[in-house]
Amino acid sequence: MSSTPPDQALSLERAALSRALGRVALQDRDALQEVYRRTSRKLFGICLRILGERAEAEDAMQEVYLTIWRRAGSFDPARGNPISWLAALTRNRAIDLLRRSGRHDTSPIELADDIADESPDAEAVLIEQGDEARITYCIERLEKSDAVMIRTAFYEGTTYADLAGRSSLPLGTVKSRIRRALLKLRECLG
Amino acid sequence: MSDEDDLLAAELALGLEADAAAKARLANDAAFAQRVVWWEQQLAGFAAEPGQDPPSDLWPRIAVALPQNDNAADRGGGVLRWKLISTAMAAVAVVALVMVAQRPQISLPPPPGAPAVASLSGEKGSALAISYDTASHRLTVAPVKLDPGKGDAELWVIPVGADKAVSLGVIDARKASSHQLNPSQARLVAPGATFAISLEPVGGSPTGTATGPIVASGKLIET
Repeated sequence: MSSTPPDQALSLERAALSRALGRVALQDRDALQEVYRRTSRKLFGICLRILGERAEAEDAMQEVYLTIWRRAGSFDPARGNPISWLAALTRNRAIDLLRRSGRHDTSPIELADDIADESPDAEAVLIEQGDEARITYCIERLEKSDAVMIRTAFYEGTTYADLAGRSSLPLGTVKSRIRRALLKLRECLG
Repeated sequence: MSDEDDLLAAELALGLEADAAAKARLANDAAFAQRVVWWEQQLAGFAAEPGQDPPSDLWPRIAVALPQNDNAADRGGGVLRWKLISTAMAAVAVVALVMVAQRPQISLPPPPGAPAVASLSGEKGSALAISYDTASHRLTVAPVKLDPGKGDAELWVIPVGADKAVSLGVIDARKASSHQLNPSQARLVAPGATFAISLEPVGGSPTGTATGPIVASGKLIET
């Protein structure tokens, strides 16, 4: 059985998606359906993870694809890969919806041991999945509690103030820790 | 770009601070806006969870809400409308079918066997119930609340997996009516298909695609 190497398959997928987005920008409905076919599984996974409930995740998906319909023209293939562009757009729409729903997770954030996770698998993932996995690799190089706070902000749309409340740390401390961690992240992301 | 500015871009990308000044800067400072996009796209790599299959009727629901088909979406009501529909769905189905059964002036014989049913609803409280006999291809449409204004209400079906609505003709907006589908129409109507009602000029859409707003929609389900 022959198969395309994973990195090649990924770049073919990206190229096809970029082309489809280009056609969506020209208001081609079939192209939007193609984008949907290629991405709905992944994007629905993101919506479900952020919103937790299927009905809300479905609402978010409708907003996501209507936003893609309107804004496909602002995607620039030279400046980013389409999967990241779509994932970022989806995360932002889902967080918007989460905030509008007024649901608010206030559970404490556990900040246990501050040891960077040096799991040996991270490098392998990086090689396999390309630059989408880079953030995962880089965040594991941060102190664990900083990584937890940044992940929480990403998935729950928590502000500095929320994070301070939930981690029982002073606002100033949270802010300076996250800012320091973000600079480290940037260095690693390159 | 200074570290301070870049951190501001990262904070904006994550939404860590509701900073109005930083948001305003997005519009006027292209280099800054680019950094926000860079951070957003880098951080999006977190979202590497396993995918999940969305329900099969999600695409038709998106397709009918596209601005070309539905000027409701232009007014920003798209998602709210669907939210209302999903909440109202179950209640309307029960109420509408009971009303159909109880109204003495409706003398339509109940379709034999277990029919598939759809409950259509939308903005402004429009609501209809549809029952469909999959054996005889007879479709019964019972409007509960539907105001076609000066025009006609037209019934459309978006078949499972398709993105284009096909007209099933103009319906009576005031009372229940029964329609015999021809074989080519019947091929499009199966559980999982989505019905939609649009408001059209008298006699129906002149173009073969919906020209007016979609006022109600809903999915056909097996009973």
